[in-house]
Amino acid sequence: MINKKKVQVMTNLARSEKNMGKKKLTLSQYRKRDYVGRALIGNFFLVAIAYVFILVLWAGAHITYLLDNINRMNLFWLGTMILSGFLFLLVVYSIIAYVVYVIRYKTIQSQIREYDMQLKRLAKIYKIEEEKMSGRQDTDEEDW
Amino acid sequence: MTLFAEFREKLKKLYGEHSTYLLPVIKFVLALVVFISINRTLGQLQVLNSIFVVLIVSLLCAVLPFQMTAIFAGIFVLAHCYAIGLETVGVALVVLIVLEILVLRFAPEKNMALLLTPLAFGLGVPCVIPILFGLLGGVASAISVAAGVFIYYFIHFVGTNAGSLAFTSFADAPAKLELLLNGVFKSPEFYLSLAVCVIVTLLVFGIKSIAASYAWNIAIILGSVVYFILYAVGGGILQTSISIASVAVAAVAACIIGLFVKLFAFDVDYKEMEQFQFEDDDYYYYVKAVPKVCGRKTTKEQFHQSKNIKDESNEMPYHEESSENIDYEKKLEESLKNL
Repeated sequence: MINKKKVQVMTNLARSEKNMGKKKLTLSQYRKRDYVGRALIGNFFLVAIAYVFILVLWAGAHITYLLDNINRMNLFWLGTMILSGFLFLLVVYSIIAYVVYVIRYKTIQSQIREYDMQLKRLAKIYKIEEEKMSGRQDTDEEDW
Repeated sequence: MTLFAEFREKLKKLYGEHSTYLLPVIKFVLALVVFISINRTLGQLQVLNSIFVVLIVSLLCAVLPFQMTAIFAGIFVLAHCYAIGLETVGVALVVLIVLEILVLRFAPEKNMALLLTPLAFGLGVPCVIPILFGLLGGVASAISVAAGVFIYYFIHFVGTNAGSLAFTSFADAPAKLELLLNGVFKSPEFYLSLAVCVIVTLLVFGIKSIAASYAWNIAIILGSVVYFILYAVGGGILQTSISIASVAVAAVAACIIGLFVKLFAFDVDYKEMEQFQFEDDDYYYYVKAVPKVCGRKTTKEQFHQSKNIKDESNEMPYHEESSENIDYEKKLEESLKNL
């Protein structure tokens, strides 16, 4: 006979797996510090790529001026400005990324906790079913 | 109102029963409208302008996950830009990458915003987007709306200036690059729309989150009014070409659509609201219970009705037993005794 409770728990588990995705489920292996640290390293590279592209766009928007005045420009000052712009963007985005990933980590952890609870419930149902089966086998043997 | 509530319940039931078929149909229609809108705005690559290609891609989007519609829309935009010129597609690609890295990776419901915002702007009802995202999304959805506004202005600028941006020779490329980038980033209309949409999204979200009666209605109406005022004042200061009449129409349309969506998302009866106060060892509780409007009666009315029926049935001297309460075993024994 179908165990309604078991089906219910298994449906909840399948729904959690679908919503979270297998990628998020692997997050339980990480500690908060490791997860956020990894995300911040990724953030550094992404911000660097984005900054290069922003510079390309900026150069594109002022290309005529740059081509005409490149010889007369103070390249040291330009380099310093570019570097300080990058540092500013990096600091801003590191703060944003830190806050976002800490919130994400906490949300996913609570989802994983809920998932674990459902797993424990399922294990308990299996245990009860096994006990019932073994009890039935014992009574059958006694009857025999 | 109860008629509408009944209609809504039927609609929900219908969707619940046939969601397997309805969801692909909705995705197909959305993809079709989005691709046609892109083709109308840009429309440089003849292959993509063909209705058969649009239909095939829309059909694909109907069966694929929703993110794929956004990806296909991006491919459509890039392909049209490529037909204009190499520098245009280069800039479009770089802009999309920067947008994804700096904005969209933190934004929720980004695909929906990226698809619907340009569509709403194209249909002349941009106010709908900040109001809907403010009502149904969170604070962060303002980021998605802002990205959508940027995408619309980029596409719109490229579409209207396709002739000037078309590739002629490598010597003209720098001038065209300047025209493209300055056209988008130095447009006062773009900055005005960006500011208005973000402000209205945050305002609507802030008001609807307040635990006050009619908060959703106030949020929708105030959002539309603020949208109109900001556009009227900002347009006057920045001297943009936006017509006040079209802004007013957009605000009224957004108000109507917002109130309609509210009936599906948050339909409650404030007249039936009840307030309770009680305490336990640690706290005092002030509880406000607002019943949902569902079907013919409010939940409170249904509760009272069911309670009355229960009371009446208890007072009745004789009532038929329901099939669950009948003790068939006892009845069988009695009939056997009689035999």
